[in-house]
Amino acid sequence: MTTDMNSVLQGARPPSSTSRLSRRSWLRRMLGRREVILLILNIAFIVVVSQLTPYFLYAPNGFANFRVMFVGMAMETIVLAPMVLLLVGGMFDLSVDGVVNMTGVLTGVLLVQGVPIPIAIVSGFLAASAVGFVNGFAVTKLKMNPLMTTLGTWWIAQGIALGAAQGIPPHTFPQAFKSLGQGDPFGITMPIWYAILLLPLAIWVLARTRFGYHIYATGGNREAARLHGVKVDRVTIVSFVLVALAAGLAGMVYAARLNSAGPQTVNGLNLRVIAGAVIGGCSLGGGEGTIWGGLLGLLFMTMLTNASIVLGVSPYWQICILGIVLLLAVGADALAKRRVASG
Amino acid sequence: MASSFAPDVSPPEYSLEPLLSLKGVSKFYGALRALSQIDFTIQPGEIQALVGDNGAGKSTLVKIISGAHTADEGEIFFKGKPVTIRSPEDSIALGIATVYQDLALVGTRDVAHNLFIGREPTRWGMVDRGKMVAEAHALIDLLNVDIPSVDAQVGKLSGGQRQAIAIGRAVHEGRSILLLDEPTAALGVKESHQMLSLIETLRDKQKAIVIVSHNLLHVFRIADRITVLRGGQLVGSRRKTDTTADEIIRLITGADLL
Repeated sequence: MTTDMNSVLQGARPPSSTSRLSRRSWLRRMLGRREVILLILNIAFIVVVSQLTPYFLYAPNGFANFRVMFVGMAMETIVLAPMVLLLVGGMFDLSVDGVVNMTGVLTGVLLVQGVPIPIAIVSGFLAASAVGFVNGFAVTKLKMNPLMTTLGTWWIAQGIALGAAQGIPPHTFPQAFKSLGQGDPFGITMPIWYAILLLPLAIWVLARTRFGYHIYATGGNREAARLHGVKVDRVTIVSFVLVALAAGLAGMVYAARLNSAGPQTVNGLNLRVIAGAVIGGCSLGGGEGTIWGGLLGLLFMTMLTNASIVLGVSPYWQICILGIVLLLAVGADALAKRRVASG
Repeated sequence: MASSFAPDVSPPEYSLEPLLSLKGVSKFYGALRALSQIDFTIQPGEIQALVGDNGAGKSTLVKIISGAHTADEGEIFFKGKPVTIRSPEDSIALGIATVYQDLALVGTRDVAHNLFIGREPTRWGMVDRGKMVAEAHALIDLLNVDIPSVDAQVGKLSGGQRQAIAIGRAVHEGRSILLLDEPTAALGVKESHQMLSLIETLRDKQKAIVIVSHNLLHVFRIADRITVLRGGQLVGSRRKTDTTADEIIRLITGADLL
């Protein structure tokens, strides 16, 4: 034992056999990754559907259908990025739709009353982050169930949106505010810009920073992380606040794009984002998942919906197809876990 | 490791200032008194075994020192200065590392990260993965255990490998004191003896080690001092050279039983 240690201290370590092993299994590991499977699946989907109909990919004018699809998806990725952080950290948030609507309406009301744009925006973010903080505080310090807590705050935020709008959505905003949603610097529309800025940031935070490592540790085994000095409550509260801030941003961008802040602007966005993240490999038990995976999962769901429309599948059945895909993804997960557990 | 203590003259290690001492520490769980007025010291360069029957308070005592639980009464001194340990961070900051009975590993993460949870090295605001991997390799070689790769997911490793990772992490984390709660419980005979050798190696590096164990054979092999808890009270602390297994068993069970 002592000689082993001396050799380590002198740096005379025998060449490790582990690196050879990891090179050999590299291909198998790549193919075992959810992101890679999804990427292949997405490409195959585009190839197959564009054989079935030209309107999916390039007809009648360029990639118009894909462009519309990506703009819609970009709005959802604003929420997806922090939602993956929250899910990986072992938490769950139902309140997003409410926060999107509430922030849009509150900011809109302030703008219509002539409040300067920066103050209206900051107020919107403050209102949104307050909901996120309440979520995080209740779940960590008061040990309340995240599902029920965020269902409650969803309804509260939705109620505030309805109450503040008083039946008439605030509308007709200053041009400078509208350009935050409608502008297209360098020919790229604003929602895509938000996605271009937020997604790499989220990827970097989750995969490279200490905060990201702590999110994985907290979601993987909260008590173990706590015992080794990870501030697990802070990780959770910050994640909830980030989700709420992103929801607030989405609410304001929707308001700017539509030039009107309806209290029911989004309905179901949150569950679509969570479903996309889960299809992309985020485990609801926490500890697993990547932004890339979530993005590819959301892309798959978005394309599925879009292709259903282009192919003329009845809207009644579209949601049904989404449900089947989600069940297949969750089922594949459960099967893979059982195989690992048994062998 | 042969017993190298001089015959009983006032033993030199007791003249040293204790690294950590607890004075009058008590812990209650509701009406239950889990620990009662414990006076406990940890000396540098000493392996101290903590023994006692189930429910004697061994794990509670370890958890108070590691910050997993907080004491309800009493004082704690580190190198003679009063300190408070209210959280695991406080304990880690004092250079105290703990291997918990359930190992406290994150099964979804790889070996390298598990060795550094809470203390990930950073460079320019990012986790320094290269440094983490290099140090992980060094630690694995030090422990002389067979781990397939530092990229391996810990949840897929064997019990012995997981145990080795938990100890490796503690070796890295614990500058001054290592607390080991049943470190050989999940190991086979050969792995157990490797572990005991490793613990002796660490003692030679002037770390203070507290080991909770049910295995008196292991305790008598490596401990310098054996401290016995019974019913939440510290009923005796003996140098190994001054005691016998019979006496320790009497202290564990209560002398009146034999």
